[in-house]
Amino acid sequence: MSSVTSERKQTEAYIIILEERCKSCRFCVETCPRECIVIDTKINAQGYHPAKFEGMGKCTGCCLCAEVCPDTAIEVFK
Amino acid sequence: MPQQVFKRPRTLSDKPTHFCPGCTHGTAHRLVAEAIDHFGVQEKTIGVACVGCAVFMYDYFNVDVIEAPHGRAPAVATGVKRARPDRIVFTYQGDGDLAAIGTSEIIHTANRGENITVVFVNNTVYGMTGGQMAPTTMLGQQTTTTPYGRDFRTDGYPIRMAEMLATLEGVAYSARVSLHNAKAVLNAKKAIRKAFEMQVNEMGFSLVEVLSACHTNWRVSPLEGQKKVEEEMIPYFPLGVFKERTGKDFL
Repeated sequence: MSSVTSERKQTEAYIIILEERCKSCRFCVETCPRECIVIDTKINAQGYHPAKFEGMGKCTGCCLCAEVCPDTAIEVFK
Repeated sequence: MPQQVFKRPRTLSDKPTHFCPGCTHGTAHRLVAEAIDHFGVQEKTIGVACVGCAVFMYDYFNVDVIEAPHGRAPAVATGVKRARPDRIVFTYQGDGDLAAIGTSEIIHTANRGENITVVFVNNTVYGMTGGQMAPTTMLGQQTTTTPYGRDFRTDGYPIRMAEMLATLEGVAYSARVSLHNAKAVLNAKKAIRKAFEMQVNEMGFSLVEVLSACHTNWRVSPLEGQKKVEEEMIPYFPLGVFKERTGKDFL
């Protein structure tokens, strides 16, 4: 029997993170129920490691990351 | 083809904020902007900013903003609302501003039942000036002016403003919300929208106290700060609606 995760349908939703606005507070990383967001290794102009979207096919477009983002740096498409 | 389901509200201008990483002032700003957009009153809204980290409100909101002296935003807002009763007037204040320097103004504005909305961001310290003790500082909390922790024998107890103001007749809506996780943010959005609805319906004074973290002055990381709000602040400052008027019963 395959695991629940592998049976999940591929989703179309995705988010766009405005890298230059991100201050690396990690709220979105902790909030995402499907762990679609990671912290990037590169540094933006403000000097922070911005969050990076790595959940193509996993993201459901629930908007929770965008709701907790203090800098409104996330746009959600579904 | 995916459609955009979440975007920056129209009332929130497209500028980077000066807030520290993870400061929930940004979230509170967005929720206020969303409430203004929801009622479609951007063109006739006037904000009153106070001294504190929210002082640059005129940069972040696409509405007219007046700067008030420290603590006096409710008094200025009273004047604005009485001169232009057709406008939607809100103040955005911190706890050093509303609960310490502006205590008299907020109490009398609430008691008169002025038809304005107050967004009160409580982060338990004077954030902008370097983390001094505010009346809302938790017992035992170390700040730059209470290096051994707040002691009730010399400094008194933290004030619960939302409960205190809810006892006044003129208040139509008084609630306390938090922004420590996604669920709390969604509840805060409802409360702030309700507070503006009270003003749109001319019900009287409405106040929303928003529990926030000041990571820089608490000297913790953003995630630890959110945890502290949940574990230390909420037990002392319980969330909820303390007063909600359902009809214009004050007339």
